[in-house]
Amino acid sequence: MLLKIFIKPNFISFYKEDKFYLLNEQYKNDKLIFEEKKEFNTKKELINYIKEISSSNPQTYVSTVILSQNQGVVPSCDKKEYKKLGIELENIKYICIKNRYSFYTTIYELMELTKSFEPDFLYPIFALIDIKATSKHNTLYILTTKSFNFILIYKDSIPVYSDIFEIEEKTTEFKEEDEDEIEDISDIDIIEDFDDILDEDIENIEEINEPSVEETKEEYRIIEDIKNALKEYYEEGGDFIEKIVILDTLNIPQEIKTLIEDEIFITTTVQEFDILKTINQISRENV
Amino acid sequence: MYSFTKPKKKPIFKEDTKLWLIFIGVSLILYIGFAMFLEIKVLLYKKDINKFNNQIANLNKELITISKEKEFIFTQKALYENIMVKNELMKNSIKNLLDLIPDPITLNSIYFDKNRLIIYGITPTKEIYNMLMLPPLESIFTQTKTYFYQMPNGWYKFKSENYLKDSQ
Repeated sequence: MLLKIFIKPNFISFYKEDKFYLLNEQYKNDKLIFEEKKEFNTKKELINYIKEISSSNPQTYVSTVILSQNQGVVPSCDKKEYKKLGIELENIKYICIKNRYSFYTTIYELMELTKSFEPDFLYPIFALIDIKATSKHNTLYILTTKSFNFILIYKDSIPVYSDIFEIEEKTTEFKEEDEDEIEDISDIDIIEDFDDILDEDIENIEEINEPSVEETKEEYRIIEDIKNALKEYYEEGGDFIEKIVILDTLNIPQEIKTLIEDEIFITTTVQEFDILKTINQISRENV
Repeated sequence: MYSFTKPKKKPIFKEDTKLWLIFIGVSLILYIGFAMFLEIKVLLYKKDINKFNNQIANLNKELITISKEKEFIFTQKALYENIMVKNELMKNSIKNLLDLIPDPITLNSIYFDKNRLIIYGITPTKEIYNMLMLPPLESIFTQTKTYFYQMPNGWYKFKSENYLKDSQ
């Protein structure tokens, strides 16, 4: 359509973690002409901002992602497969991808998000991994966020296993406190965790360059989650994983790559991952 | 793809932009309509101008014809007046001529032509004719010829030919 040349759509993506993170991009002829990142503490502020942008440009597409445990991946589009996995179809909505696999979420989650924000696009978090995944055979992807670690395992271009690990509330509380207090509550658990890593990879001690307790905890948690996922996957009879890809939103130090390779013996790569940019990328393809 | 929801239909323009566009659209339609109206009017006027020009040309032709007719009528009138004057003159001349006829002479007939007068009559004697009749005729006409025939009673029939200009 000729008019498309003159239209400058806005793509707004947001998600909620400890607060609301938002990215507003404006494109003209598929070229980025404006970009704005925002953080909001309250839902009201976020909705007001979206309303303001939408009223100034009717061609505004609002997208968000489900960042909760109420979602998953099934390596089939067949309803029988869902029943086999014990998922009640009445309580979920699923979308079939390429007629090979599907993503699902609960009706409750869907209702909550659509009622509050009325988004144009609502994506499962695994869709973001799926769109970014380049190696899709015996590869484990882990997407790290502040609240969850999302794991997706591919075999023959199909996501065959997914898992979501919630990061304990403790961590969130921990981060919110003052740095002085952090030192005070550096409890035995963290030190023990740190010791574990040291024991397993003494050679890397120098490379770690005195990481903060917080960082170490994150790395530890990621490794633990990968281990748990692999354990469960192998128990279910999954093939040997040849590659691990960490989609990092937290700026984890690159040392984690060595840590994992030394501990789990699987080639690991760390990729920076921008959730908001990826959401907008899918939305742009959808419009 | 990948989304659990479908996007709402997005209008291309804002509500107030739509209103502006409608306003501009209506204005444009009115403007174009008015321009077309004026254009049609101009065309109609041009047609009228052509029609009137043709009428003017026809009327000019008629005027020329009428002028010619007028000239002809004036000529006719002048001719008529001329004739009338001549007739009047002739009438007076005849009256004068008849007044000139002396009592002893009797006229039988008079032929009046353009520049010729022929008189037939009877006179008791040639002398009476030559004395009383001839002088006035000679004063009027340039040439006068008289022929006499004697009748049994001794009187004369005469024929007098009088010419105004060239005699025949």
